[in-house]
Amino acid sequence: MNKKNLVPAGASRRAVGVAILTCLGCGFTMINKTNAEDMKIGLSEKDYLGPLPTVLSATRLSQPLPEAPAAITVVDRDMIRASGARELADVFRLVPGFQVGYVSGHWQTVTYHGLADTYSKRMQVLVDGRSVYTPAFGGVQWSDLPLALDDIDRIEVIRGPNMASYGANAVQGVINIITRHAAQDSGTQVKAMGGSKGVREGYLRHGGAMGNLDYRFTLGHRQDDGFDNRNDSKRVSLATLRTDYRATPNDTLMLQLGLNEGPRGMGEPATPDNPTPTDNEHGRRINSNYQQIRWQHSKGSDEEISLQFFHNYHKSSESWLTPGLPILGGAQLPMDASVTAQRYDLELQHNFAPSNQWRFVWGASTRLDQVTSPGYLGTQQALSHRLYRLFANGEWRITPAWLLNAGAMMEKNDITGVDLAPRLALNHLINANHALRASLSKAMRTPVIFEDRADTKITSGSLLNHLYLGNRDLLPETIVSRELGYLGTFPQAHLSMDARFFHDRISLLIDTSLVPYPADNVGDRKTRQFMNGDTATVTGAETQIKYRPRKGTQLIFSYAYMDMDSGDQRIKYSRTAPVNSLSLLAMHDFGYRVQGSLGYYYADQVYYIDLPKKNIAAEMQRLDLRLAHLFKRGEIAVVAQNVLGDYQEYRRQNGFDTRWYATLTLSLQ
Amino acid sequence: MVWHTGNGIASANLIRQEIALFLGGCLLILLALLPPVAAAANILIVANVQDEAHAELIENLRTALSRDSNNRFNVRTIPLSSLENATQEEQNIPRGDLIVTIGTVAAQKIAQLKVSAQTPVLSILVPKANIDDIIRGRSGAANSGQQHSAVYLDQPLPRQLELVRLALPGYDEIGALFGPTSRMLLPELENAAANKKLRLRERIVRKSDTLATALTELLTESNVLLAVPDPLIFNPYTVQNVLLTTYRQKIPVIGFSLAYAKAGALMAVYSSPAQIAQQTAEIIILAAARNWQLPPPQYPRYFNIAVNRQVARSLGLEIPDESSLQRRLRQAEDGSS
Repeated sequence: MNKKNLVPAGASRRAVGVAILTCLGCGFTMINKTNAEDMKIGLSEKDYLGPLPTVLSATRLSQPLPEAPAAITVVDRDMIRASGARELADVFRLVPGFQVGYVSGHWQTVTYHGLADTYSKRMQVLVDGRSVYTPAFGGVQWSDLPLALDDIDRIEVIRGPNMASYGANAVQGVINIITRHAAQDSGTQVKAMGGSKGVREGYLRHGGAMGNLDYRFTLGHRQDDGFDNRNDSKRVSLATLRTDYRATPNDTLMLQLGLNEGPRGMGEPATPDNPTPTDNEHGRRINSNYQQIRWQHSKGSDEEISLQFFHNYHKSSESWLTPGLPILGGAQLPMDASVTAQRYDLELQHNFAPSNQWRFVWGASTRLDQVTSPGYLGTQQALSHRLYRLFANGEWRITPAWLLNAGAMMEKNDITGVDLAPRLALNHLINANHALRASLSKAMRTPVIFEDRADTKITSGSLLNHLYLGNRDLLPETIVSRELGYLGTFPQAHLSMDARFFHDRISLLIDTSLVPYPADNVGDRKTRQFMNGDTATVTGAETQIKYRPRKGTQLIFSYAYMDMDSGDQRIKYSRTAPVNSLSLLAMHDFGYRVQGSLGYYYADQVYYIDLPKKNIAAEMQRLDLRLAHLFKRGEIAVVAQNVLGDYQEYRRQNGFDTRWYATLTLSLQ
Repeated sequence: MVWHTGNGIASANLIRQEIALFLGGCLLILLALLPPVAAAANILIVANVQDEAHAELIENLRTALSRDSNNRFNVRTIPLSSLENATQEEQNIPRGDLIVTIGTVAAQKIAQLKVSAQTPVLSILVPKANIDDIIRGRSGAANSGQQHSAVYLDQPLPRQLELVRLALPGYDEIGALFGPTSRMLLPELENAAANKKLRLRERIVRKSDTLATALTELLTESNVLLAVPDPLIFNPYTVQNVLLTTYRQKIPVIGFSLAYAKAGALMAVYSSPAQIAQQTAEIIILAAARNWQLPPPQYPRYFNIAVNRQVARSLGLEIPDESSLQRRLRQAEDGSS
């Protein structure tokens, strides 16, 4: 596991500027002379005696799963490829206990253990240590991430809360996406994809090195038409750059830039299925970009210091005219739902292992989230949310067979003040093949800016409708999670498995209650105001089994059983997780450079919180197939998604029929 | 003799000095009279004195030689820089019984200079590929009669393979990448692997841009990667890719230097400059007794094992501690020789 790969920020601009200058300064003054002279004479004693960069440093090494303080699922490149996924969100169907729903063709909600709506607010999602959930509403806009699937090295999913290591929002789980080091890709790769639903994609990736600097850039374009009969197409222009610069053998500087831009189809005409009378088909323009810089200093493999700064910018511009509204005598009303969200984050982290028995990580970070949305927040001003964090985690190997992990994070934010999130895990390694784990943790979800400050009104001269009202007195949602885990490998049977039993209790859940309009003196008109309310518990078990009977053949099976319970006072929380869900990924190498794979997914019915009951989708099952032929310079592949016939994605109206696409990948030298 | 007035302590010290001088003089006379009468042997060390490893080695070599009770060694260091502009004809190297060169450049330089043809040369801290070339290159030259031996910087291949056997039982598919420099080691490694009942998987890389492809292919067939020194394949620029790629596939790497173990290889067997100095001193002492007849070029006798515990742990491997591996490895070598 990457112990805490991330961090936050919100520093003053001045501090940020200084940090960047410091980083660049150390980078550029420490430029190494090239070894060109040594190369000329071939081998040199420097090859044996000279220093080398610390490549596998504490933060890059993953913790062996039996020793990790939480259940972790690793989805690697091969699994992503074999799954045939075209959207990153689909990959999470492979993780036990996860649900994926397509709100529309370009909007996916990814949840673990229920409580989801259009925005899945209770998950921390990091790309190379950069927190990407939106500060406006929570949740991740997966299709808007400046990230190409092929640039991902692996995804580590921590199932369960881990705020002590990963901070706010790490309530239900943590998704840690790790992209490939720039040195891992050299040369030029082009990829073209085409298929049903107007799927067209093209990518150009190029990696190279200049002295101590490795770089990779990716340019891409993707588009599709989304669901049939819906205005939910997307066109995405994508550009990312990653450079890894080795300033000295022990200092590296990583710089990343990314951009995701293009139009998306939004809205639906007023129909009986559409509960929003002001909705109409329209366009949304996305401009999402980020800048990230990280300096890492290693002292051997046992100690490392890193300093990171990043900035995320996400602008979603959308305005439209409503259909003729009866209340206005059939007149149309202009609407504006544009949102601009930014995050500035600065983090310092120190990992060290003073002995074989002890390992520590601690750090501090500061973050500034800013959202501007006159439509949703009722002000032209940018509203901001500051966050300061201090965290520490220690691992104590009491005996070779017993391991104690303890950590805590103290967080101070503008909305709820100071929160403390501790966690404790005890691992027992019974022998080389079997391990047990027990853990207890507490985590908090700080309200997002919309919940805190919403002021969403529809006006036409006078106030027509007050849709949402924030609540400045909200308390953080609080989760207490208990689990028992088992990890086993059975080398004779070529099998490994992980199982866990869990009980999560989430209290003070934030949802909306109807209250009188604050502007009205009489209480006959109501608005939705955010309130702390219900408690929900999830009790269940989940497992993941990997079976590798021989080289080239692999089966990965996952299953989760969830029993959700809640007062269900305002919302039927108890139905927001599927009782049974499973996935199976089978990969086989047929020889003759032909590889095939199969992905099967099943989930019981899920009630997404913001859906009217009549729109709830039925249980889902889906079978995807992929066949690939590899040749010297590339690969040709065909994917068929959902060959079993239609099912409903997220809601009854989103029919997912059989889709197919083909890709051609070529490596140029 | 006039006694100085002064305090008693100073006077007492003076008396002690006088006595020490007298005794020292007697000792010198005695030593001079001792039978085998080794006249001081002149050892010339040609090295890059600015280099830390060279300096450390020289220091250790001096200490080791001074401990020898049978010989008196006059060790003199000639900075490589002072030979930089020397032409072949120049004979500005003082006379000596043995020239020790440290590093490839010094070995090359001395091989080019027409130093008194009778002075044997011992090259240390040199990669095997380099020094074999230099020695071979001299055989036709004018000073071919000169003795030239070496202590390689490389570890013997069987030692590295034995380490795999001891530390990673069951890892019997050894992957190795060869480049233009290391290619000639392939037959030797094939042999060594066959002797240890290990299967060798290899790829030969001719150009650096095919390294990534070759590595990826190789890793599908191997369960451990043995790093063989070659500047095309293993250098500070490629190490990122090699270590990250192998780590992602959970394939341990056996490095050839301490730096490798620190950078992220699972382990490495290597010899420190102090260990090379120890072996060099032993060779010199033996040669001094044999009229400066040098043994043939040899591999390092003393070695260390470094295990990167964090990497081992992350790969889920239980590796015995370094000292026990070292002991068992030495036993295995003693048993087979």
